[in-house]
Amino acid sequence: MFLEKWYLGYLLNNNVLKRRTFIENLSLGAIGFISAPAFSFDNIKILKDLIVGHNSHKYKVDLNWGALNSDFYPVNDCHEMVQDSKGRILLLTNHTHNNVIVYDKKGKLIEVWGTEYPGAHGLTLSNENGEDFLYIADNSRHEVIKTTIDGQELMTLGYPKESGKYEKAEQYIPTETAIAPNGDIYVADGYGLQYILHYNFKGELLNVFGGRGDGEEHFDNAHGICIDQRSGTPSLLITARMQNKLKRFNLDGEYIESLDLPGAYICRPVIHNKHVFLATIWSGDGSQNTGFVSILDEKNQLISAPGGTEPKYVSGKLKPMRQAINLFKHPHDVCVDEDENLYVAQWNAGKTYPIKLYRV
Amino acid sequence: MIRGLVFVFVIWATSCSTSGHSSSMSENISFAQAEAFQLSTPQLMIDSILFVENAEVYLDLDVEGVELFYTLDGAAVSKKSKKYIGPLEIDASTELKVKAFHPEYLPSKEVLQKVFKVKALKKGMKIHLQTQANKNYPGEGEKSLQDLKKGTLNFREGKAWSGFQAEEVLIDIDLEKGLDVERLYLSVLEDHGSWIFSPHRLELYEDKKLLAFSEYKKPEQAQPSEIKFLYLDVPPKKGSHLRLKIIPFSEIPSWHPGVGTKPWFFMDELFFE
Repeated sequence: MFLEKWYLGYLLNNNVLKRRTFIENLSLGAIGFISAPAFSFDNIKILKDLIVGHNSHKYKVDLNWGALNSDFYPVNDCHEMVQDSKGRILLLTNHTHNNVIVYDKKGKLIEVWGTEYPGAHGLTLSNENGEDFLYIADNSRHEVIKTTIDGQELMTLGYPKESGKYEKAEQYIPTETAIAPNGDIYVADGYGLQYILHYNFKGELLNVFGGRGDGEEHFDNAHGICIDQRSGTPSLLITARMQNKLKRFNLDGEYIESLDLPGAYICRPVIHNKHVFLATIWSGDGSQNTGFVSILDEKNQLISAPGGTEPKYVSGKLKPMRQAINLFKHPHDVCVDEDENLYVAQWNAGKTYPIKLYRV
Repeated sequence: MIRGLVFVFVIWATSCSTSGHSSSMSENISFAQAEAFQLSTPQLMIDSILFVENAEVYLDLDVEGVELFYTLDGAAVSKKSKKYIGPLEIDASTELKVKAFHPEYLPSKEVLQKVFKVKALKKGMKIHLQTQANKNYPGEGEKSLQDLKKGTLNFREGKAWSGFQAEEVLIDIDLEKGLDVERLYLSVLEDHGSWIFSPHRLELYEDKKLLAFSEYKKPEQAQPSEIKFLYLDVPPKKGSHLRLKIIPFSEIPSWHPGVGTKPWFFMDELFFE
């Protein structure tokens, strides 16, 4: 990542980029007109803006979005991002110097807070009676913490001893939360025992489902969870990351269906209008630095994969997905703003800041 | 005449230079340029890395405009190498190298795969794993060593790989009476990023007598992840009870972040030709 930014900077600073961009913008007619002996374009490489994605969802890439001075505003893993009702973009990182970094959409720093979340992993925004609240799932604390939008802690959900499934806090490693329309809280124990914990808004445990196993209703890395209200009836979409599947349950925890995304190690489903966006941390055989972004349409078909190969269905089945170019290392979450632009937070990506994709 | 043309060119170019972006992108953004990025490695699918007659190889990278080139003689791949247009049939032991090219992106890294032609795969032997695999990577014991199901480079997936972190790994092999074997193959994983190293030494014993051994150098830098086939030629005069001793390196080399600790050893197949 560092090298790429350096390279881009070099091209810009040396005027190489601008001049070459002009050449790109010439129409074919103009090229024909000036192809006199004095000019030869054979040796001039034409630079083009990178465009990633497929079909209706294609993007240009800003590698510099939100980049800060890491001496003062450091990040480790950039785990998750949400947009609040004021339009601000919030990033959660597991660096306890500043666990939450708040930006505007242009990537300008607004504020930072949070020093108590060493395992900051899941960030969910919930608007409750007109006010924004955050739910932070912390891997190291084995807790889910509810805060106000500026970081005042309101409630802590510890390990669910009352479920009878857990003997000690260390077995519980929550990765993500989802908040139902009635305020109920669903927690995915994606790095722990793979259960989904269902609480009411007061934090009282109502139900436990999922868990490890070979059945369709079980999980291997129940990493991300969200409420899907696209059909009118709310249901839960939960990623089974190591199984390359997205599973649907009703709000009572009954299994409904499974969607296969072979080759796509999906982290968290994010619904924006009719589409589902999923950061995909690895692809193919699961090798390092092979991530991309997956975008599903209203029929849950993969229609675009920024950074990935072209999605193709053969007799209704998705051909296994792979990374196409080395744009991303390990995408961990996608945030979609009202302009349909994407912010991609990455795990294990050399402590780099998020990448913004502009819809074209 | 030429000077006039240059003038026209500059005017035209300036007038077009801002036309590419939609209004929502009118902010001053330096978008990433396509040529800064490298193609990812193409997928290589092979029906059998070990074969008696031939193997079929498929290559794939679904990116518009991509071209795949390959060599079969160990030479580096360039755009002057053979272009892939459909499945390859390979009928000899060889080293296949593949690379993807694209007009806008940097070429991919080279993918390397060795394939082995063997005279015949011998059945009629029983193997007993004397060293227990680590509980996190148990595979399926003796069964996964003999099922000819190859693991992938993703060692966490499936049950093909057995992983060890031990001083030595011992495997007892009972050959059926009269079974004639020439070469023992062991398929192992090299994944330095995951602290997995192929072994330092293989030793084959009959009772306590050393029949054959093979020793491998400690790597001097990180190698790309690879599934390797190690082999030992078995002398013609031998009994039916053999023991294979696999000795991993005693510690991870100094250039690696895991320096000084015991490396992991992963294997997925053991068989005789």
